[in-house]
Amino acid sequence: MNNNIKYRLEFSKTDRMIFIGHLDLLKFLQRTMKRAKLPIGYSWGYNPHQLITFAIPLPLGMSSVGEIVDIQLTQRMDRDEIKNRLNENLPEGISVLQVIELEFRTASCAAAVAYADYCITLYKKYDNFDEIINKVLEKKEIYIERTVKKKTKTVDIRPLIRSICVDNTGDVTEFNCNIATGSQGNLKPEVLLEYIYSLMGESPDMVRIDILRGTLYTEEEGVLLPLCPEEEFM
Amino acid sequence: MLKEILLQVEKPARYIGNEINMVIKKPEDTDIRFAFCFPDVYEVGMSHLGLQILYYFLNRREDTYCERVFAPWHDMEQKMREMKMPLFALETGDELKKFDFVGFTLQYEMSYTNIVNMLDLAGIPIWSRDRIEEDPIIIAGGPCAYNPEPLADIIDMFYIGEGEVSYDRLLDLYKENKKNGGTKEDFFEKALGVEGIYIPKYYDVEYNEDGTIYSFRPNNKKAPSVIKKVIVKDMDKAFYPDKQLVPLIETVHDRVTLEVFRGCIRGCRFCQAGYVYRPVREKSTDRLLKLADSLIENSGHEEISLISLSTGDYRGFKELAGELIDRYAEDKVSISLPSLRIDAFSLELMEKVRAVRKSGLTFAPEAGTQRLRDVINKGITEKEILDGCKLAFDGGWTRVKLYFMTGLPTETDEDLMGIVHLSDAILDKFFEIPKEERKGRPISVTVSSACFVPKPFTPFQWTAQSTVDEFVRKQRFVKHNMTRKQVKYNYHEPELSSLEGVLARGDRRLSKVIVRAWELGAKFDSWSEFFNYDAWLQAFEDTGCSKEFYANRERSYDEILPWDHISIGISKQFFIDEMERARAGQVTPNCRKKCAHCGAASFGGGVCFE
Ligand code: SF4
Repeated sequence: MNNNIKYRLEFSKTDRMIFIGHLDLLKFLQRTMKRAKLPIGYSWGYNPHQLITFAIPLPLGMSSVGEIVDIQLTQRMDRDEIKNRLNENLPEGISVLQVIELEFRTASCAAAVAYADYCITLYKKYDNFDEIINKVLEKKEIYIERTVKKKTKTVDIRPLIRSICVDNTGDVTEFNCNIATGSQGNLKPEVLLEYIYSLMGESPDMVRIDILRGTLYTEEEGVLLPLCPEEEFM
Repeated sequence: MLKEILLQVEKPARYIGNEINMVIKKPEDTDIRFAFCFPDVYEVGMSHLGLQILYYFLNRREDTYCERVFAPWHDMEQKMREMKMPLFALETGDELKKFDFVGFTLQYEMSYTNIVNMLDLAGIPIWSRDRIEEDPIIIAGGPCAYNPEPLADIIDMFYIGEGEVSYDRLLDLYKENKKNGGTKEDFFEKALGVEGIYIPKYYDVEYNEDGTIYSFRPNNKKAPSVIKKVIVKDMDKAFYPDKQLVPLIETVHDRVTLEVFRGCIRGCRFCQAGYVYRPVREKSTDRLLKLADSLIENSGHEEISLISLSTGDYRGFKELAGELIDRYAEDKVSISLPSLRIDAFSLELMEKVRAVRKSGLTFAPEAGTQRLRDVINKGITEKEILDGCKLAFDGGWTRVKLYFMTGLPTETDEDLMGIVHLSDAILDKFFEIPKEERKGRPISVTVSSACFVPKPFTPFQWTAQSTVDEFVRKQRFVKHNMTRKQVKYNYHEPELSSLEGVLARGDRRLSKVIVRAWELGAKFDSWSEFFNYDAWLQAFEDTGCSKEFYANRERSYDEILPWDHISIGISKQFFIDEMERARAGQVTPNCRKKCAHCGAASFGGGVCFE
């Protein structure tokens, strides 16, 4: 046991910073915390490392406004102070949106994360996109083939989709979806896109599609709760 | 468009800048835009200390914005060419043509084709004479600039020496000239008066029938007949950044670097760096500790590396290392000490700093016999190496790396056998330890041999380099005799070293060979997956230049060498004397033991006045 205080940070990763991969981001945040002179908690042992846990890695190339990371500090600090000190030390493209203090026993964000919002922009206009999405949502089961470690298996992804809503008013096609994300069940937005495009008889050109990850949620008795709730909900 | 491209290339973070401590300025608020170009891939360039220093040095001027440019990896280059996207600087993303200066750092000869490639990608004419008023001024510096001639037709002006000295004056002149409506030509002529600046087009070369140089003369009254390098006299007063660019992706050396001193007291006769950076100039321990603190504070790095040509020679080394270890234990900052000689003290230190895993211990005897080590003035004896190994084995180190060179002047097969004997002796030292007392993993000895490349401004500048065939024979000979299974033998590609030998001692006729090799597809030559020897051979043939003339020919002392108009402050006579001492197997003591009066005292500082 240690006397560390746990904090949960929500941050955005956008613009040029989307090209930083997960492991590099980890190192980058560790250095940022050092520069910000936070009283960082370290693990024990011969090779101590900073205690830091990500909810779920963000793939390179994807933007996010809802990344979650849990950190441990050796002293209690004002949440705004943590946020400000970090933001002063972060380059354009990454910024801490909010900080909450956790009870020590709270499950780590990696264990808790269950769903994520995504906002997906297709830089092409598909007039019948509403219909296609309705078709998707009407289905009771959606079997797709997935190859994991050279073995192909069929999985039903329908239970992993909570909602999809389309905004087809602009000159591009945009939709929001809430899908399973985490160790309990995980649907990659690319896989969903692949399926939707197959219904249109096309395959997605990922270079011309923007994916923005939004809020990450945990699930309690069927209800989704943001992993990093805003103050008034606490 | 950039985003689209970046989604399709390997390691896109190479091209986005945005690192910690990146300098952000509005170009329109500055008078001078300087593109610092490193002609290799991002991860290599960002690990280079000179870049870090010059970047902040130039940017400390309010009127100047220095940005960075690296050689795009081949996948990126292909996309850029497809999309007709010109080479850009990381800070603003602006193309190189918008800059006043495009500056290349010349760290190794085998990066020259990348320079040509980068100019081409930027849409800037490759030949200096083809550039117009609107094109940027192409300037180059760094260790290879001490023989600038192979790039003389490509680069507009060379900076000979350390950047901190003359850049302010040069940039002031540029700004003033621009304000007064002067042309580029006006600026070049004025720059002839700046110490350390060499502008090749103001010099004419004539050749003898045998291809050697007949005369090398200025064709402009203002052009100095000899250009002497400029160096910092007092390292404590010289500029050094208190921060460092911290890359967002892993680079070759992912750490803070603290330069302890410049130069080297040792005088190994094959080592160009050991001569061109003379004399040794140290920073005070006080200053180093202060710098270390701010560098770590401003970077958040978990490792600090003490850099110099031979860090253990720093007079305050014990004090400095001890203090750093004490200071940073708490903050989990580790200290790395490359280029240490192995003795009881350094082993104890390494134990403390944990920077070297128990696995690796490095010795650089360079030659296999004491005779040859005396020839090259490498002051390390077999006994020292074996004693060091014994200490290391007792401490649990079981992996030994040995660095040698083949093709050294006067080398015989006996010397090559010496490489085998020395590695065997090290093994025996290990097996002398009773089995039950041996610590760590099973012993392994890795022997690497590089191919010797004679370099300008060394006593060996006149000697013939071994041919590729000779190198191959020597490597086979060593390999054949290296019979013990615990010894692993690695060797360098002789083709690459042979070309390096050509470019290192080349004259200006080689500019066309470099460009031709690039036309035939050569780039990233120092990367074995790209190295294209055939393109180079073809380039020599197409341009009518002889590779052997440059690499494998012994020069006489009275020949005009292509770099004779450059002065590093050491007299030619000193090098001749050193060459003769080498032939006689006589060693020359290091600067601290006894001054050899090389001439570097003329700079008025450093070890010559300790
Ligand atoms: S003048 Fe003497 S002390 Fe100075 S660099 Fe030369 S040999 Fe060393």
